[in-house]
Amino acid sequence: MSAKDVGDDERPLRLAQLAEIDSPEVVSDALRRFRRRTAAWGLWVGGAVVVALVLLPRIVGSTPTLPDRFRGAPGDSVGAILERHPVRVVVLDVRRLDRGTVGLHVVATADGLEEGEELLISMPPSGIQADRPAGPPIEPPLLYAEPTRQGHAVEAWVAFQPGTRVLNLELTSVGSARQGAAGTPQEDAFRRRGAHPGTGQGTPLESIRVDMEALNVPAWVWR
Amino acid sequence: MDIEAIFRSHQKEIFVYFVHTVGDRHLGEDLAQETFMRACGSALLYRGEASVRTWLFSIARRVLADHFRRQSVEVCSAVPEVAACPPRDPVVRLAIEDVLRALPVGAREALTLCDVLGFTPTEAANAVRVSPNAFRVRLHRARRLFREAYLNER
Repeated sequence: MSAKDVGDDERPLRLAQLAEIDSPEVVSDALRRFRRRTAAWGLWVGGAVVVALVLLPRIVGSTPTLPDRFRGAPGDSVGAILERHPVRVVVLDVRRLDRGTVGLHVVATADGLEEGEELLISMPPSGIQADRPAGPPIEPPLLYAEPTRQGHAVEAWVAFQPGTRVLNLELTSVGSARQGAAGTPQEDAFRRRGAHPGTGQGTPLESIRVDMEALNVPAWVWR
Repeated sequence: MDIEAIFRSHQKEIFVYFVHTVGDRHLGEDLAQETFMRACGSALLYRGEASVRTWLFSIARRVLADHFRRQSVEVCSAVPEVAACPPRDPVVRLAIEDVLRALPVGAREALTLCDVLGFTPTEAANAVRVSPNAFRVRLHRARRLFREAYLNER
């Protein structure tokens, strides 16, 4: 074999024969593997989505509520009663929930509620920036409420920043015949009065101003 | 558009490319299959800027690079296989295959693309993503290496 068999700088002619080989069937196998891999991937993704949809409510649900955080948190009993007819608010205790959050535990009741009527408690938007003697703007308080006694009382927990001296609570009743059946004069009156600024629904009863300094709540809460 | 028919028309070329760059028929088959699998996955991204052939070979190139990265080898040391079809001259053919297999991967690839599969240097440059001039230099060196090795072998 001489140099001419491999040519000069031009194409070595004999190399072309290396293309003459039997080729196995790879495309069909490749497509089959690709479809299988895509289906498996789809199953994994679908399964992950289903698992997430099933687990997410449980995870979210297991996030501690305000009442959960209250239990076991250090604090002091207060035992103060605030009344403005027809409502009554009992300030039960205050807790230190974490470094930047304190909590207030109250129970509210109202006189004269009817069968099927429910008491609601809220913090009005205008009162979100609770009174403070001084300092920068604070985070809005967080309120968690649970009805009790067939809705005629409500237990509430409020989380807020230390240094907040006053919280405003609004009590509303809903589900009352006083709000009127459709087409009745009572319903018209209710509609004319418009939605409650705090809850956007129901019959406003009273606003309660919880002045913690005045109630002798420990100073570590409001100072 | 029958993608299977399109792929099948380039099946042999892709297989030949791998057989002569990795020096192993079975491995070549695996890598060819991997190439077409990746081509299925990226078919939606193909915009027709290059020919299907160039596109498939650019994928094959990446499959080859990934293979060598995993293997961390520069020159394949596989036992040479007898070709599956009757050679014109089996002794010469085996000698050619041995010499080709002993060359560095880059040289093997350049010779396989242009001198075995008939790519033009520009087509091959597009497939391996280098400039045509750079590929021509690579091809020139590969041919010189092949010639020297072959003459020494014989």
